Amino acid sequence: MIRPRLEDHVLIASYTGRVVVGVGLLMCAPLLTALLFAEWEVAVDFGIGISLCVVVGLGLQALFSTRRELRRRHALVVVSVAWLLSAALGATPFWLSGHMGSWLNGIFDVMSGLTTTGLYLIEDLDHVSYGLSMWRFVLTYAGGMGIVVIALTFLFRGTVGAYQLYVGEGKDERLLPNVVETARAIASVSLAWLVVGTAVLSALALALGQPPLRAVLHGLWVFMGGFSTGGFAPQSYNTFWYHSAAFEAASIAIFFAGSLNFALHWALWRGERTEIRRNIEVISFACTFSALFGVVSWSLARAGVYPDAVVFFRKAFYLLVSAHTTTGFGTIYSRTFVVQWGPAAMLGIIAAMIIGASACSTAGGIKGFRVGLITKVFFEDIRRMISPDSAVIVERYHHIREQVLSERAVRSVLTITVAFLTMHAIQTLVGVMNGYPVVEAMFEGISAASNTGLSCGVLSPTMPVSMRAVYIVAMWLGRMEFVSVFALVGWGIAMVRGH
Amino acid sequence: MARWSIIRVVGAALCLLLVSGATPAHAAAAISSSELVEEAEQWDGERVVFEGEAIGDVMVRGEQAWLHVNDDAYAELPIPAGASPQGYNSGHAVLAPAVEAQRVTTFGSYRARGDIVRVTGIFRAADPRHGGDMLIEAERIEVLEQGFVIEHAVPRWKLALLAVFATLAGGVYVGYRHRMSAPPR
Repeated sequence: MIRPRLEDHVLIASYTGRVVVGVGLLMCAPLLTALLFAEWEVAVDFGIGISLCVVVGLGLQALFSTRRELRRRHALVVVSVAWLLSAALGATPFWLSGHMGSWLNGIFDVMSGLTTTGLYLIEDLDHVSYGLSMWRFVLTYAGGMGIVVIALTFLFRGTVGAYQLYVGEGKDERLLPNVVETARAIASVSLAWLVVGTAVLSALALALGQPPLRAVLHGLWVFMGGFSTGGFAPQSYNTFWYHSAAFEAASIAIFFAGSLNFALHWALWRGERTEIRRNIEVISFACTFSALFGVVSWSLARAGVYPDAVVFFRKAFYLLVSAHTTTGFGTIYSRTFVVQWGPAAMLGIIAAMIIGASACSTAGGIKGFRVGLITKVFFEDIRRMISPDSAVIVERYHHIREQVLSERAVRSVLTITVAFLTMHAIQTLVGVMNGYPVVEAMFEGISAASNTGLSCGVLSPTMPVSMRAVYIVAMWLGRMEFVSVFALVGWGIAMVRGH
Repeated sequence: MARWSIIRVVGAALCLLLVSGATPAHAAAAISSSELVEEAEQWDGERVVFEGEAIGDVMVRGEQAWLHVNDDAYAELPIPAGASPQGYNSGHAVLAPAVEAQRVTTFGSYRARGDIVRVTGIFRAADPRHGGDMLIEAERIEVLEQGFVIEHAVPRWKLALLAVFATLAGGVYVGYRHRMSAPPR
């Protein structure tokens, strides 16, 4: 094990500083919102937040100036540290607003936003200012694209290190030869959806009876919460606020689009329409969704909650898509899962959250790509068992192009899957040890770790500190898909035990 | 004779109550949102009285309107008006005749504490006519207390903090520019 040298630390500090400056730049959107609506106190809160980011971000760059390029091991540590530091600094306006019981709760909400989870500890959400609301949605929208992607788009020029940072944040698709151009392509796709999605949702909100200004803001915010598969909503009632099938249908289209791989978006953008029915992730999603819809439907039919078939379909479909895409929008009260839906339907939702949606998208969970590959390996092994010894079996899958299923890819997929399942078990255990029933502890813990954000009522601002801390770590681990966090831990060990 | 008169009056009042099929709203205790959610099946189809702060906006759709009423700790005093954090918001969706809903004029937001209203109506655990939503189908809405505008002044300590950090940020920026113009280590 090689002990990191001073210049390695300098490199990490310098690049972390750049990402922190990026977080400060993001705060300009809520600052402008606060100024626009004459929310002076909120504007001051964001002024303090931006100043802090500048002090820390530029301070790190000034103190640890370097022109060395990042290597993979540095990049992974930068991503981990940058996310933690961003969460701590991003919590400043939350804490100053008075809506948070503690700084830890503020960090929870920033981490939830950046990881596109959507769970929240903010109190009295229904009286929150427009400025602070904007911050919640900027966090989740930026988190969906990846704060490093944003930093790459606006703060970096084409460097080798940029690609390492990009991969470290859990995105490994190169849509274009240059990684900065790839990051800009992701930003372009997201912005195009932003314009169209906001226009549709705002028009619907207006038609549903909201005043024009609130309709536009709700349209924008629900889009940002949906496309990022974050699940934050402007009111505490979440999407239940709108009481409209049309609004629900539009929001499903948006969060489903957000849950698709950016490479798939790019292929469709270039007119390769056949990709959508050949892609392994889309096929995997369709299969697991159909199976789980059967489970949830059977459970709800037995419980007899929704006697009308149309209503039954509307509730079950919406919440299952929301869970499977790890969005977390809800059209029922949190406790309704426990009181009316019951454990069997909750287990169906839990399974959907565990699987999640596409890799290299805004979604969380194990990902359809990995589930698809594991299924392929399973059938490949059965074929090997029943084939003659001399038979050569080569398994292929389609993801943007035809690819051969390699041993290395399978090992990587299984490692991440086992890590996710272990984390889910720990999350459940922590909940049970704190006195919550098993299914409820499992539901809430997995919702956090898979970056979904649906709640059955376990989460609260007064929940034990240990649970809040564990949830923050789980959201972070889930979004980073472990690799960057493991790299940080390895870095720490190497500092102590390396030679 | 007087005794018979009292009996007649009481009897007539009881008959009126039976005919209307209702308990006078002001006499019934208001139910909480958490009771309705936790015991939804038990309350399904029952007439309830629910009180709280009208928040957000009223969404008028034809002859009916949707509004949301919170009965949480912030119904009296929201955080922007000086309350300390006391947990999540909680409340209920209310579907009312548009005429009744329009009695409410102030809705809770960052800038206002909304009207405190009393809703009398039928609780539906999963109304098939409205997408299976849990709601109170209001028959009557009374405004118990008018909402008010929340004044916001910037505390001096925040201005001082901003001044300190902005100055620091300016200093760091100068240092950063100076460092960047120097040859790298």
